[in-house]
Amino acid sequence: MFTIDFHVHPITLTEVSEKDDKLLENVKRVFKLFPIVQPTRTLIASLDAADVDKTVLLPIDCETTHRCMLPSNTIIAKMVDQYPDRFIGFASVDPNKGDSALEELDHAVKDLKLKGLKLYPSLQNFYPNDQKFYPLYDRVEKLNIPILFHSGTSWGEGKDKFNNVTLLDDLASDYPKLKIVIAHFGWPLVWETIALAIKYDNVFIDLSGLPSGLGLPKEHFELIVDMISRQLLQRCLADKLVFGSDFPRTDVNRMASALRELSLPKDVENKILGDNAARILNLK
Amino acid sequence: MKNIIKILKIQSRNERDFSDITSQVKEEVSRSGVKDGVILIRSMHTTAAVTINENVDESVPRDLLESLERIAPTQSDYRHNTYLRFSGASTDTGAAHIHASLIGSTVLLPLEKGEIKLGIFEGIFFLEFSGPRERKVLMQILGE
Repeated sequence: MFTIDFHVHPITLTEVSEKDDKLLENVKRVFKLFPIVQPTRTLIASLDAADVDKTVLLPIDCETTHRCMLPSNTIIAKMVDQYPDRFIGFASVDPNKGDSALEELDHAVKDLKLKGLKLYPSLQNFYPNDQKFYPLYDRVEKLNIPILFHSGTSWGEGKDKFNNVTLLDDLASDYPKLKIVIAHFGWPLVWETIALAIKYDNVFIDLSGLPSGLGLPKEHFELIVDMISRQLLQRCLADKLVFGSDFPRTDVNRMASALRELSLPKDVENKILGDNAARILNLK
Repeated sequence: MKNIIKILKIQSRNERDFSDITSQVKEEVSRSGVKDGVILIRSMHTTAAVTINENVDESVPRDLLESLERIAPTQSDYRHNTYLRFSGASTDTGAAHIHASLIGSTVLLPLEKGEIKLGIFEGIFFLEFSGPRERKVLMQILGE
């Protein structure tokens, strides 16, 4: 069994920022994060402290809206090359680029060996259920990779209306083979997110980030459990939840510790910490 | 009089951690050529600290970390533990700031004949309260 962090933005790592001299400026301007730059070995130390085996590195392509990538697919692939046992790379393409987005996705998956697609509707300024983007989903389905959608509130640039999880209902229904992961529990639309995950086999939820505004991961996870009940979590969502940290907005080790401190039944905890993610990612 | 400033980088491995940095500090003093004067050592962070304590029994720094946790438990209610717009991140470092202030950010030590004047069981420790991180410790060596 692998323990997997499904949600890491490598945008404040020294080795990433060295490959894009505008990255840190763009992180501040677009992602609205004050970048405290740390070497990759700090992230690895945090993974080790958390007993996390692998982490998914996420880029965001927002060239059309914000003239930047946070970071590029190429940089993600280079980071995976440096730590192939620890990092799983996702691609991002800008849906507003039309056909060239499809070509970039092909290149990212076939040549750069990236394993999924990250989309961020509020930063990329698009409604995920707009049918003009269906050719992109056709291609994702054909490539047999999962899509991780930023969902719910965003602390970066852009309007949260694009991140409303109910927009994913069309997609889940129209693409039953497409594995859709809703990030951040769709916060604050937690119940709408649960409804989608229960209704559709192909919808999953990542637990990353602290969108409630509570700073202690334990407090945030306990709030979720209080809201939805242990019975619902264990009975209906055990196969649907994946652990994620949202590094660097949170710390991997403290997020993983907080999840373990919920003292869920071991089989449920194992599913959330890695088994579900491994299934989504087709990891052996 | 010489005035030399050096930065020592430390990679912490855990959320709360300690490192004995005595040998690295001694090396910098030796390299500086300063024989008589003082060395100021300070953590450049608000969630880390430096202190002098026993460097023989590792239980001492562990006891120190555990005692700080009893004084200001990490899992407690701090105003600071929230989303901070200026940083764009949620923080859970309410206790870490208190721990750092209780220990202090700076120590000042005398230098004589090129040696740091430390007691027989004394070492210089860097204490981490919000790791893992790469941290910076500033050393200012003043003297002749």
